[in-house]
Amino acid sequence: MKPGPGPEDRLVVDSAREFERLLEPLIPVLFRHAYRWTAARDQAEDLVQELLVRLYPQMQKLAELERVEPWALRVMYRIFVDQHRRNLNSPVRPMHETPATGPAPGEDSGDGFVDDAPQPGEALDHERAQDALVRAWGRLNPDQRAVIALHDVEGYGLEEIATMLEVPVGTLKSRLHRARAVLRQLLATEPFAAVIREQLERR
Amino acid sequence: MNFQADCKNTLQRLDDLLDGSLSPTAAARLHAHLDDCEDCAAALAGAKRLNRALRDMPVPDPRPGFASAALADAVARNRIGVAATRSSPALRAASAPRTSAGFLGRSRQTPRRRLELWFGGALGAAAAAALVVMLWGPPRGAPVPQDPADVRLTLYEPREIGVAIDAGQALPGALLTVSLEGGIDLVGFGAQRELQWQTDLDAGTNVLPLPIIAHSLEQGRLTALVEHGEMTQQIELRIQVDAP
Repeated sequence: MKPGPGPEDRLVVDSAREFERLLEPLIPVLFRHAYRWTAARDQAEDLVQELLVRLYPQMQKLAELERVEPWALRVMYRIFVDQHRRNLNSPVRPMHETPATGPAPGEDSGDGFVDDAPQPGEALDHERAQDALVRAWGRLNPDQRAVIALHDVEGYGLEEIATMLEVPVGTLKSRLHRARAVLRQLLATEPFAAVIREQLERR
Repeated sequence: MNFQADCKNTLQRLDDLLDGSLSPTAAARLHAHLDDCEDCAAALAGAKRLNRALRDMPVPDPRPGFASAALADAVARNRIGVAATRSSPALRAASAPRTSAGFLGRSRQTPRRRLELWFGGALGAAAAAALVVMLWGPPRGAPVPQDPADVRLTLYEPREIGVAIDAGQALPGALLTVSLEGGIDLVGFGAQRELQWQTDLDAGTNVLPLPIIAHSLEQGRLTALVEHGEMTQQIELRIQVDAP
C-alpha cells in the first residue's frame, strides 16, 4: 500500500506556500535590480534563482522582517560579487564580450565636468543617446553598475546601501563617484557622442 | 574666493550634491554659485538628465513562468539538500552549492598569473590564429561522444586553440576539465595533465582559449569536458605534431 503524506511532507508543502507568499511579489523587483546589475536577462534570472535557493532556508527570519527587499538585496549582492569574482578567475569569455578600447575608464580622475569633454547628459533624451547609454552601461564593471543602480536609479540612500553592501559610507561614496565618472567618460567616448550632442543642441 | 575657484569647487562637489550628502550650508553656497554660473548649472543639469536617462533605461521582463519555476526550483533544491543531509554526510558535501572561485585542484594557487598569460598575448607572434571548435549544441541530458577533430602543430611552436562552448541557456557554475595526453602541454601550466575550472557559461557561445605546445613528435590528445548538473559533454582533439 502506498503511504500517504506524512507530517514532514505537509510541513514542506506549508513552507513552500509561505515562501511563495513572501517572495513571489518581490520577484519582479529583484529581477529589475539583478538586470541592472548584470545587464543581461539570463544572468539576472540566474541571480534571482540563486537568491531564492539561499533564502528558502531562512524563511523564518524573512517572515519576521518589516521590509524583505533590502535584506534580500543584501544577500543577492553577496551572490553577485561571488559570481563576478568566479568569472574573473575563469578563462572562459562569452563570444560577445569584447575588451574595452582607449584609456582605461577606471583611471578617470573624476574631473570629467571640468574640462571641455562632451557633456553626455545633454544628449540623453534622444533615442540614439539611449542606445549609447545602454552600451556604456554594459561596459561598466558589475560593481559600478550595482552602486549606480541602487543609488541613482532605485533611489536608495547612501546609509542604506552601505549597510546592504557592508562597506563604510565614505567608501561607498568614493565608489559611486568613481562609477559615475567612468560612465560619463564611456559616454563621452561613444562614437556618435558629438553627433548626438549636435542634434540635441538643435532641439 | 574668485569665480573660477568657485566653479572648480562646485564641479568637484556636484556628486555630493547629487548624493544629497552636503550640509544645508554647503548646499546653499553651491546653489548660490549655480544661480550665477551657466556652465556649472549646465553641468548639473547634464548630470541630472543622465540620472533620468538611467532610470528610463528599459528593463525586460523575465521569461514567462520564470517566477513560479524559480520558486519551485528553490524549494526542490533545498529539499534535496535536506534529504542528503539526513542520508549521508558525503552526499551533503556533494550537493552543497559550489561557491569556490576559479581554478580547482593543482592550478588553484596562481590563477591570476595564469590568466594574464592566457589573455595577455604572451604567446606573441608564434601564436597561430585561433581554431574554433564548436563543442556544445543545445544542452542534452546525456553525453554525446564526438569524433576527434585533428589539429596540426609544429614542434615547440605554441598555437592557440579556441574551444567554443555553445550553450543553449545560461549555465551557472559549469565545471570544465581539460585533459592532455601525449607530447603536448598547455603553455604556462608545465607538465600538468589535467586542469579544472568552475565558471558561469552565458547563453550563446563562450570561448575557452587553450594555448598548446608540442614538446615531442608523439601524437597528442586534448579532451575538454563540460559538466553542468547531470549534463556532461566532451570533445577530443587529436594533435598531430610536425618537425620544424
